[in-house]
Amino acid sequence: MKFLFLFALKNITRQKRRTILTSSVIAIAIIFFIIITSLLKGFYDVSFENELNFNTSHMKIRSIKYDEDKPFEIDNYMKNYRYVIERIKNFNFIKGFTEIISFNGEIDNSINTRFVIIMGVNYKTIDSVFVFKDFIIEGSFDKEGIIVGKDIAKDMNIDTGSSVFLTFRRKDMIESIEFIVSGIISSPNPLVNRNYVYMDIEKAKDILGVDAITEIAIKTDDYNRCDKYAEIIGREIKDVKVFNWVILAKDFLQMAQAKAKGNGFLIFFIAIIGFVGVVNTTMISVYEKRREIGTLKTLGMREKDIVLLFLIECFLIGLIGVLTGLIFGSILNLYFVLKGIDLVSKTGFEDINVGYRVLGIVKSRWDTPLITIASLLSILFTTIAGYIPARKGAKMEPAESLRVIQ
Amino acid sequence: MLLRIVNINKKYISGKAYFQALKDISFEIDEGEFVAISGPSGSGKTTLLNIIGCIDKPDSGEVILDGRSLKARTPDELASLRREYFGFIFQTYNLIPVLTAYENVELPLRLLRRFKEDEMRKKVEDALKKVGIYEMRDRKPLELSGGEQQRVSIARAIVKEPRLVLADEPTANLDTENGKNIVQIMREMNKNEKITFIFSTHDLLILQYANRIISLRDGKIVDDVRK
Repeated sequence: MKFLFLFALKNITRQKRRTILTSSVIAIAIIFFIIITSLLKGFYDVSFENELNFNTSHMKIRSIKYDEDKPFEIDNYMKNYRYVIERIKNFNFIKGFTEIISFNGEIDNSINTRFVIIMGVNYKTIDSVFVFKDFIIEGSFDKEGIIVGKDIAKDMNIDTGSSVFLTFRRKDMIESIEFIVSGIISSPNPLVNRNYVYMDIEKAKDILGVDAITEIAIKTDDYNRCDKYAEIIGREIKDVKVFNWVILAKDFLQMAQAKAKGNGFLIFFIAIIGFVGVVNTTMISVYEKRREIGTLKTLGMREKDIVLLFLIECFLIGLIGVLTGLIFGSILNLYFVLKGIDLVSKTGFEDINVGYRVLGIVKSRWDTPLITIASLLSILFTTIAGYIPARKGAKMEPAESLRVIQ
Repeated sequence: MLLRIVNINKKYISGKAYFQALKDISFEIDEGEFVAISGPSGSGKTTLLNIIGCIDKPDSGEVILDGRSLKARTPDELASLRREYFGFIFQTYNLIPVLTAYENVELPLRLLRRFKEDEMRKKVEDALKKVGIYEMRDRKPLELSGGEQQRVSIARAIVKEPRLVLADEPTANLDTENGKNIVQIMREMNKNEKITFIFSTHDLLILQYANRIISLRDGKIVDDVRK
């Protein structure tokens, strides 16, 4: 085996250009794979963090009557929220909670109107669950004012101190109330910037005329255990529905699944590149070495050893390609890992909803398991690729091969 | 008796045309013989050697080696026979270009897989010394002259001490002096190591070294002379 390995090594160094060309194709594919998957992982991870930090939290407790299809209906409100809050204080896995009342409405600056989601939040506790105050880029919280998403402000030409009307449904009638914009929020989650208006929860309850809330958002000690925690809360507190982040982030997770399929396609694509390149190289190599194969067979080399010799050559070409790709791919990727990519200025993602909850500079993150799988599969595919031409070469009659004039 | 050839026939077909390369060839070779197969180009010398060396199959007839028929053998069995019994010398040397002279000579021993590294080294060095090419052992084939390459080829053929060495026109690509040297080396191996040689040639100068000459013409044996 050692001899065959050294023999194969000498063979691939004989045709340096061809070896370099074939392994370069594999290397380039690996470089692209590393950069793309790391970027996607960066998007996914940041997106996931944003989803938890700005939207779903780890868990949400809602009324037993909560209807997911009509999330802003008054019937959905949880009236026994004070009792629920007292009870959840006893669970030591809960690290923070905040009450929210949400309803939809229209923002009107007397020139334009726009549909928005109005969130009544507890400014004292919101940062124990979400990341909120850090992203208020202008103004500040005011009990009587509202904070609007950056995109809403931009589109409607609203500044801090502007006066706007919020129109919403209160019980069976439509109400319109004037508010002063006390702040503008610019969140890494584009949904917040595009759609959300925040106000104090007590003000929200007051204008809706209800003593109820939509939900209690919860942060736990470990979001991976939320299904278990949800079960405990559901068992201990009656008349509530508990939603963990897996349910709340359903659409996000569906996108993540699509991403996994995309990665699978990328791996397949790279493997095909390696496969085609190596089939071609091995076919040429077998053709050129017909006489040599004839000599080896004449000297008594077994067919399976000839096949093995070619497979080792293919393996080495794949290995060289993958290692080169890993080295150069890692060096290039290091830039994206350290510096990141500015989504807004480079891609215009702000205007395009691609499903990722990210904005601004996103840094790539190493997807080591996926890169390892892709590398191993590339080597495996390139090795397998050599089998058919190698078998064809090994099956040649030695007398025929020796007659070849080279 | 080492080898018996019984009524060998072989024809090559190309489209509708065919060429009868060998017609009813029969002869026997004893151990230790130094046999030349002579004849003009196209007389069937190479085909006959290929059939004897199990790298080609006859259409009919039988090759009996050491009392065993070679009929109906699998490719791997034939490869095993070639490894164990035969040494091969080719007109165009057929050395492996990426291997050094030493590694080319070592190759048949590697394929046999029965020698330790030390044993192999000694055998290879002995073989290289016998053909007078030891000093050039680290050179690759392209760095050697034709005569030197053929010496390496002979060392490769004899290194495993085969029962029978088949040499197809071993001097055809060499000048007279080098050709003579090569045949003299083969003859010494035959005398000293008791290795049986069958070689094909149409060079009269070389034929004088043979102790038996089998003459072929149009695929038939026309003469079989022992000296």
